[in-house]
Amino acid sequence: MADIRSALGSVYKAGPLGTPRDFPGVTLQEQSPRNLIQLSGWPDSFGAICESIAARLGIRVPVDCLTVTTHDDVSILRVGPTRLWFVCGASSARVRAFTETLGAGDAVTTEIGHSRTVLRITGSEARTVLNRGLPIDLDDRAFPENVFAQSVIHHIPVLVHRLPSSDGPAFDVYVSREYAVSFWEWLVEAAAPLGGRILESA
Amino acid sequence: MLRITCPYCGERDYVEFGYGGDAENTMPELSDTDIGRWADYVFFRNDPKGEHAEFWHHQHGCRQWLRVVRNTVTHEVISVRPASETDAPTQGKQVEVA
Repeated sequence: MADIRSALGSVYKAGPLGTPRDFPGVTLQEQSPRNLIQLSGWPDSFGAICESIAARLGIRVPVDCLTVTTHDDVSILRVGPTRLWFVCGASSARVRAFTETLGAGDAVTTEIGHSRTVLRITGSEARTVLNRGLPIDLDDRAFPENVFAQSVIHHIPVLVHRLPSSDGPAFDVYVSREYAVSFWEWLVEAAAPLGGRILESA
Repeated sequence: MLRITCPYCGERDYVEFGYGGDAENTMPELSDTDIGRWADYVFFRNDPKGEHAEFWHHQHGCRQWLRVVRNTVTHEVISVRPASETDAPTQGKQVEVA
């Protein structure tokens, strides 16, 4: 398979960001390409597929379109009532082996890792930056760890996943590759007044 | 401000949604040859002052079509349910699988 190249290319430059502060308000980092597999099913058979996932992969499928469930290095995001994202690390082969057992009448699986740029936003001002464009309440009570939301920032569709973290709020933002540069420009401009840094791509 | 409670995603701002038209406009049977009913279906829309059923697409969220009853005067959203369902209107998260 061809290597996935960063969509940000020359616009991504690691270094200090905006107003110097004693501590960085925001840290931005492009993440390495994800193994991302989308599974789309049909209402009549989706329950059986969810049971099969639980039995064979050991991961409970979330009952809502907000919660992320994780086992080992595989996470499941329910991005629609009958649509799942598998976000996989090295064990993506296990997920692929499972999806290959599904018949065409059960579900359709598509690899979409090439189509998304993933940006990690951390730091004490991470919520402030996101809420400059994101119409979602990111307070701890409304948006705790292991919750995600699909929404829009700067007219760009995004999926925001709040990560488990003991070091302040941390978010992964999934952006369609074709909008990655536009989103990155918005993000840097929104974060600059808060001070921070851009890390080398992971 | 218009906020819609998606049955799958919860309460969201209207910027995540796209308006999909009148949900009270029923297409005649394809075998119906009455030109008046077809003209009414294709060209004419009610413009109610008050409650109105509409299709909205949660295009930046779960990508589902919803049937929303909205007050056109106050923008109050009275009910939301998946457009694929024909049951009584519902609101709030209600996905049940597994």
